Amino acid sequence: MGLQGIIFELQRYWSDCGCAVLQPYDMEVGAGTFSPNTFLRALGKKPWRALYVQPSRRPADGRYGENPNRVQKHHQFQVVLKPSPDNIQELYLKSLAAIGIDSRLHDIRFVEDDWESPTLGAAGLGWEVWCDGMEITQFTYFQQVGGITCSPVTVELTYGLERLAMFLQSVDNVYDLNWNGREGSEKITYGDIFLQQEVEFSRYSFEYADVEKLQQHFSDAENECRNLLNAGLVLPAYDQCIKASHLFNLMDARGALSVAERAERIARIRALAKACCEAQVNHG
Amino acid sequence: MDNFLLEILVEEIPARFQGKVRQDFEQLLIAGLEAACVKYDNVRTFITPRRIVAVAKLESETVAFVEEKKGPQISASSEVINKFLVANNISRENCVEKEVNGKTFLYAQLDHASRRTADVLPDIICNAIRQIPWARAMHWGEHTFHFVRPLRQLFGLFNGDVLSFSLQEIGVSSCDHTVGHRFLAPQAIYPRTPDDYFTQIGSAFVIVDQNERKNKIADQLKKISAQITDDLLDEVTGLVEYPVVLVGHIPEQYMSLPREVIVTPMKVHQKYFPIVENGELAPKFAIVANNIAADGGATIINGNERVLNARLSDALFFFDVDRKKHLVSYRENLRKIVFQEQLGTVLDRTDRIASVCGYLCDLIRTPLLSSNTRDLLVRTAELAKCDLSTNMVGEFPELQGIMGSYYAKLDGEDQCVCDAIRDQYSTADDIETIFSALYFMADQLELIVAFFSIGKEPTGSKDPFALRRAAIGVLKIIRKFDLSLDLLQLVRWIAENLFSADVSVPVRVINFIFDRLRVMLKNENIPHDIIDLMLKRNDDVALVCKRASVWCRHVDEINRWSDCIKRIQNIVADNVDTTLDTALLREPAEIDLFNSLNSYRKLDSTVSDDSVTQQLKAMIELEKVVTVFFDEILVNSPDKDLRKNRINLLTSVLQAL
Repeated sequence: MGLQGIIFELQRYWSDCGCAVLQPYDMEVGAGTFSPNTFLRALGKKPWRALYVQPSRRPADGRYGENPNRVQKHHQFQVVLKPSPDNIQELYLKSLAAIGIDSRLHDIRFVEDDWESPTLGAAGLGWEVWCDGMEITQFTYFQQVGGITCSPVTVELTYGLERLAMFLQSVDNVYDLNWNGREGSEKITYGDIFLQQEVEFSRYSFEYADVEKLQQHFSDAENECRNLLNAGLVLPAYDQCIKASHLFNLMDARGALSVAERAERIARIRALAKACCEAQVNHG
Repeated sequence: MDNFLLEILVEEIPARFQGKVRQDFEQLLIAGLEAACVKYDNVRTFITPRRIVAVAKLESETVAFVEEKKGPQISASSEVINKFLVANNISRENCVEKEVNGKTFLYAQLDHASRRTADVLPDIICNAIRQIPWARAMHWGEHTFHFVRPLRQLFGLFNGDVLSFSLQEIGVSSCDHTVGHRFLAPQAIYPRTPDDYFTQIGSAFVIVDQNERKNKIADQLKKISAQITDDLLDEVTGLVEYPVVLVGHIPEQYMSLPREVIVTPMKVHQKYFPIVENGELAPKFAIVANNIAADGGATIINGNERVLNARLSDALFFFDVDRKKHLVSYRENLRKIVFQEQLGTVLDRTDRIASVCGYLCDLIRTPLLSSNTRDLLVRTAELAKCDLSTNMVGEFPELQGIMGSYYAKLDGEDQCVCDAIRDQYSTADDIETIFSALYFMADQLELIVAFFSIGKEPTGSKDPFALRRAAIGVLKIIRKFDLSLDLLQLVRWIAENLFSADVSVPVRVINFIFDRLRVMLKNENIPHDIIDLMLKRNDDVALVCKRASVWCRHVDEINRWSDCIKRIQNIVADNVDTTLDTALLREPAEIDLFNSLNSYRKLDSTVSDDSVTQQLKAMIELEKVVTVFFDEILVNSPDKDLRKNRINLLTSVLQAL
């Protein structure tokens, strides 16, 4: 099965479970959780079921296309369900069956992994799901978002698509992944699509990103976020918060932040995220 | 008695909580049974990742009892008394009068008739479940009820019947069945007695008894000579309901990596057990899986091998890249790592530690050092943090120190330098050589003084830089190696020369360290009078500790000695003159004192059990002589010279002690 085939199967499966099939959020985010379709939707009473693929950028993970296991932009398959269903573990295990993981042949384990995002002021409890020793999914019951207790609770399933595909295709190098599931001259690999991106963005993040400008942009995004919140525009404000977070990740990758400065910027982003969450709760 | 069984089915309970929750739940259940007057026997509890199980023998009926409930005084208004009677559904005849502290109160005699145990069990069970204390609990769905992970199913049996009860806050009612292993036997089973339960659940591939599971894993591991560590064994026992040990292989090319580099990802990241054959790490590892796979485990082994290989291939790549340069050449990179805003970079810190090492060598009174110790310590300081900027430690932070040690060895550094690089992250208990001990102490003291000098000392429960641990480490090292030195002098030197700190810093640091010492000695049951006495008079920790441990066996003598010192102090006042005119020593008692003092001064003053014991004996003797002196000699002699001479003699005694 090509990587895109995994996406199709998961989409079909979770769509049948009542999830809205959404498209990726059109901003640079560090993880699918940052999308307002998870983060802000985890607040308030309204039930919510959605799925989407989220390309996620982690500039510091760039390896110039030379590391077989690590990329600065990877794909997360994100499923969120609110309230968390009673049979969520069974639903999840069936989704693995849907992509061809036969539980009679594999060793599937739920290993404790509490999740905390200092930048988002969010925390959850759950597991990382292991398949034959490989972590294939983050399984999290959100407890708090932006400092606000979640009620009802959203459960978030995050499948790391590259890892999952490498596992399923028995491939040891991410760039060798079969993306379109064809063979021979019709085969399109992960490397065909993303190698140039990995090389160039690694150079950008580590060598060329202009720290002063990043700092300026960070302040701009922060101010813009505050202004928009004052105007009662929650979603546009939250976009600025996401932007600040990505700019922070770039500065961090560039090695431009001291320990104290790092902590200080994280606190500033968290303050924005918290303000957005409070505005969202008041709004809803 | 009748058989009772309870099973709580939960989504995977983290392994680290399982031991405690089993014990807590057992106690809560017993407390509930006792409160309800249910006689019980043989209460046992078990835990797996998915279930908490309790079994017991219970009397079928609760014991009837009379509860005596205190009411108002008999002198209270009839309104108040009536209210009490109505509230308890009794009449005046059901009450007795009792006098308490001169006042007479009404006591209701409430009859609690015997009840069927089956009727009281639901409340006992539900309350025990509700009261489990969790280190971290969560809520889920639309509920506010907190539990370690979502509680999904309840199943109870008593005397052959299915118990009916429900935890209403999460809408979970007990059912008439349970389920087996998640993958191997997920279908429902319908046991009706505890024995039946254990037989059926066992056939459904669940080993409920954690000890049985643990032994089964350990037995399988021993057969393949896996190296078992207790922590990992406990953790793995908490991750499986039906353990199956499988063996994976490591490609030969990775076996040239340092042992820790292979073992760390194995144990820490993957929870595998290393396999040792003929004392050597074998190119194999043991996986504890939770499934009997249809293909005999081939797929599971293959998957696990690929995960480990990916990590080892990264490690090998990093090792080769790191080795292209000498360890010392990574030192320059430390300039870019900020240690703390006000305290500069890690490079700055290593320079400071090198200075501390140098001064420490000057100060130390312990004769265990060779001539090049100082140079080697300074070299250690230069190299110790270099591995922080290597690729390997960047990827596996838990290998800090270990990689530095390997790289230093490969660069041909002295063995003691390599060991000290490794030992800097170790604990005082694990450090075995005095060289490592000295470096460790220099590093930790620099750390403490550094944060004190910028006003970031621990307050209350807040100790973000783990300075308490550092202080305890320093103390343990000093004691373990009997490092005799003046700690205050050392701290003062560090504060003044390396931090230009406020003058109050050295004393604050010493007080901070001595507070830890106080606790340490207290925990060793050393009376606090003696601790106070020790800490007041000496900044040589090694001597303080040695003395404390010897002195605490002679509390009475020490107290007499302490009184004696006070008496001398009162007489001497602020005199510091110790010049003596021996010609003026006339009386036998003062000549005795003079002689005793001289022999006391000649005692070996090194820090060892023997010398401290000798000193103590001499002190006790000296105290006796002083007492005789006071009995027989008039210090305040009308002769001015005589008086002066006697005061000076006592001053000498005081100073010698």
